[in-house]
Amino acid sequence: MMRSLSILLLGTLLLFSCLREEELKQPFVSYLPPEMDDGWSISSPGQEGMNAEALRKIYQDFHEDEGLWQVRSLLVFRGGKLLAESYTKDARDRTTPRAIWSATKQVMGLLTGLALESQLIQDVKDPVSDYLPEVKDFPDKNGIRVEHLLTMRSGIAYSNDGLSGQTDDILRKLPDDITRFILGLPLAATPGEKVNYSDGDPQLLSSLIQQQCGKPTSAWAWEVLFDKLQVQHLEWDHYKDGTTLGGFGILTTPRDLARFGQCVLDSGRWKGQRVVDPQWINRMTTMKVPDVYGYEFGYLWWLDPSRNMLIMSGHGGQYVFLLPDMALMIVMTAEVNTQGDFQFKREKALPWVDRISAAVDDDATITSPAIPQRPASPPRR
Amino acid sequence: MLSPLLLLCNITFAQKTSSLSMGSRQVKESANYGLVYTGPMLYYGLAWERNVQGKQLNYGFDLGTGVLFSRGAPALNFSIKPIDLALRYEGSGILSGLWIGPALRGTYEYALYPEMQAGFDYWFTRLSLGISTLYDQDLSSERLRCKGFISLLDMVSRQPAERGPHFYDLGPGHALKHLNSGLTPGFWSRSFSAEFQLAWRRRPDSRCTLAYALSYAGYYEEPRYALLQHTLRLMFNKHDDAKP
Repeated sequence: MMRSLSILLLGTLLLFSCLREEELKQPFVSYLPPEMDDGWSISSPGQEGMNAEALRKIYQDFHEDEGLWQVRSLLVFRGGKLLAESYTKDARDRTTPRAIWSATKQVMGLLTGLALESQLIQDVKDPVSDYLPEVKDFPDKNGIRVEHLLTMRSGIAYSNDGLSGQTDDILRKLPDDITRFILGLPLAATPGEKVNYSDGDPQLLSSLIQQQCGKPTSAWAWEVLFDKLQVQHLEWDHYKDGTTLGGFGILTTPRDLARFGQCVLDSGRWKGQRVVDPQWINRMTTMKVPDVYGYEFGYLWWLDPSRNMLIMSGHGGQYVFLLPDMALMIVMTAEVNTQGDFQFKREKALPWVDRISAAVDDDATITSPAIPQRPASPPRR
Repeated sequence: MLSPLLLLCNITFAQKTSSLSMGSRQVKESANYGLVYTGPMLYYGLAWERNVQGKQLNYGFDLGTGVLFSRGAPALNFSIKPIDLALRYEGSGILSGLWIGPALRGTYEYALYPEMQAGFDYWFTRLSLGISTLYDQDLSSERLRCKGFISLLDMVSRQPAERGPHFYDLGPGHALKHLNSGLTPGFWSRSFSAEFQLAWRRRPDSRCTLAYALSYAGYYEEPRYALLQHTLRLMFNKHDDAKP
């Protein structure tokens, strides 16, 4: 009898044994950013005209929201100062570079402005063939201009599809030469005619810059941009043929990602020093394409006219939201390898942007040194 | 290659058991942010047994597959156990009725997480040297058999802890190339696996046996891993004199 009971008890214990899911996010402790001697001025919500209690509640919800298990960081900057910062999974994210995927495209937008300034490119209206000798082997691409690459209108039939598209081929390192691979694809439309958001067009831009500056685009970017922005933690991957990736490829930290946003907010300046031509910042962030996935699109930058907001955006949920009217910048990052609906998508991030911008005190003085003025746009549907 | 092995087993071993199993598996792979994947596994297995004067030799293998889920995201799991070899000796005195001896197990756990880790594959390969035990208990006309296995020393292969996010690892032949790569020894502090099985047969001479098994495997260094599986197994014995 005892033996049978023992077996029954043991069996019951075994049947109910299971693995436990770990805490997917750490509890919220504080949003006060530590001084890191990394070029960022640290401030507090109160000093920068934000409602500290509202911000605390936002951060607490950000940490506690079960549906947002993918998110990794939330940083708030105002007037060029970092005033709130928290990492939901690992505080080492502060200094550990992670992929920002397509937010690399917005960095390519800044670099194109610098390429114009350095006269690596004379004019965005120039044919790509003026700068990229490979184009002569693909005469159907003669009509592609630099501007087409900046606005996703090359007409090249490139698909970002993760399973069957050309990005998949590149991620698998199947083509030998990434530039010729993209140029060798057929045209789906006359250059300049149709928008096709792809990794291919900004990749050609990177190839073009690399060809013109005679060194990897990434190395040139350190000289003309990253060092000037005091970037601390950034890696930029290359394709196997040595070409710096252009549609994606940068790994960096939220604090370093924010430097690009702050430079744009400050009309091309960093700490008062001119880094990028202010006129280019203005051109880059002015609508060129009225609708890409429901957003306006400038030169590789996303525009949300309903919020008068500029966006850097990368796969998985890597975002920089710039609200020039409020001198406000919000950085959010998430897990980098999630797919489909498991990403921290833009529509999930925007309510947090709205909550944070609502925490700005209307009467507060905006201290940003220079904010691009843009005409008011009608609200987006 | 498999056919000569099967032939050899059929000649060497007196009893043959085939089995169909359905398992409820849980997997926690450290790359998956602490999520636990849960779902069914289906297995087919063959096992052979030979009893000679107080010694019992077992060999078996299992093939299994299943789709697990976590928060709606699927994971494809493949499980192959090509080696499950045990040599048990009949105990005496206080250990009377208990069969105990060394065992060798080779196991491949292979998984793909298309929604969480697209382009990468995950594996936990282990060749485990351990102890196997067996105990039969007759209850009137029924028979219960308890079987256990605990690993003592594993040779382990895992995917790299850090992989760049941009370029896929996955590709034709990748699994075959890497499943046995970098096998390194692991004691309990690094790797551990265990299985407990309770089998029930209505009559000692019945051809059909129903069993429940609980399996656990863990790897405690980065990339950490844990597997827990409850399995219901239906086994069919070939010979009339076969034990469960």
